Amino acid sequence: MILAFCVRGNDESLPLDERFGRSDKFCLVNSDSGDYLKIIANPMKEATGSAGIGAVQLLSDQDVQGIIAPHLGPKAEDARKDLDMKLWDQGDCKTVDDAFDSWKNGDLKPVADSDRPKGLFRA
Amino acid sequence: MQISIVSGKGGTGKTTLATRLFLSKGGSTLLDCDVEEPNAGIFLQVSWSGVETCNSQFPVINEELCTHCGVCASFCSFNAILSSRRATIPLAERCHDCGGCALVCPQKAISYAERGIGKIGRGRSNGGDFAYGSLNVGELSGVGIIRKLRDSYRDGLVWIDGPPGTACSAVAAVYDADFAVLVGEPTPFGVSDMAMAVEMLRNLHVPFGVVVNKAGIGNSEIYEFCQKENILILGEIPFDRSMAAEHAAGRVGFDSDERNELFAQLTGSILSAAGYAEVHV
Repeated sequence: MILAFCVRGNDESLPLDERFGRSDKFCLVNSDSGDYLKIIANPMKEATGSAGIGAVQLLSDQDVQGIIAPHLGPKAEDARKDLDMKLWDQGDCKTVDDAFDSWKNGDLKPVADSDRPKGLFRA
Repeated sequence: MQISIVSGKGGTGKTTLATRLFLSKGGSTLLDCDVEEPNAGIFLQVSWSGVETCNSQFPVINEELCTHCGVCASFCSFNAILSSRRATIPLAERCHDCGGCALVCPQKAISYAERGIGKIGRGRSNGGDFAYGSLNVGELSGVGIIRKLRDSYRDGLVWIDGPPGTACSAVAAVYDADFAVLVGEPTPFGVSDMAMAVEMLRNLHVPFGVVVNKAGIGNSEIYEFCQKENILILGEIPFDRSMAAEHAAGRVGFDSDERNELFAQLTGSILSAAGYAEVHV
């Protein structure tokens, strides 16, 4: 499946962003082949509201089925469930490589549908 | 004639002024359009006629006609419709009731249902009508309530106690008004936010004048700003701690000849600037 990671800045090491909805960019990876497919800018970064929902829609349009991210807010959480996308918590990983490796090893915590979303509470 | 009272910065004295203008002009109408925090009624004696629910519409997708083409979702400026190849999901609370999605749907698969977003209370006070709007906690937009309020009182002299700021609700309170009174506070924050309100009023082509409330505190920036921008100052309300004390007790404070005279004059200046002509039937 296609996975999406939240990426910040322009560094080649692809450091992870601490936000989902207002993440700088997203890196899309084909989990079956291991290919890093593309990096897309996130127009929701400057959205006046519903950045999380917009980001979910953006990824859905790219056929992303799995998201690796920091906490999602409650609206983004509902949106990704509505669109049948899986979610894993990126934990302490620092780069896309780290997170992808951890994901492959089953070390990333999946966010179950029953988990209450926490969000970043940075409003 | 509809005259809106706005400010930019919160707490400058819109409700203070709006209630006194209403009381100075018996038989006029006061609409409390600060729907996130309506408080004008606290200062008035109102005989209430009733409270009604205010509704907003939201899209409903007919799954039998929907092809999940996603046109509605990409049209929506408010991210109120999610779409994937297998699902089209309207998010009712995000919908701003623009009616656009139904228009763009190629399959005509969208209709609208209603949900409550707040209420309107109506009554009589001071020989005229008083009504307020109140937005439910958690709702994004009070615009629908403000429009409904303003549409239901079009006759005679109508004072509109507007919300603070210059966002959607403030715009809804001044849009197409005959005149606006900008209540300014002579402090740096007051002037800075007032500048935004001036921009809003000019963009909306609403003629306006400024009333300086709490005159005597702060600095002279507000006068310099009005002079530079060629803005009419309709009058001033001097800062008076006892007035604030009375508000805190829920009283309007019409208790001295001096104050009554001040507000009578202010009312006159505002109506004159607004071009209000009394029609005697």
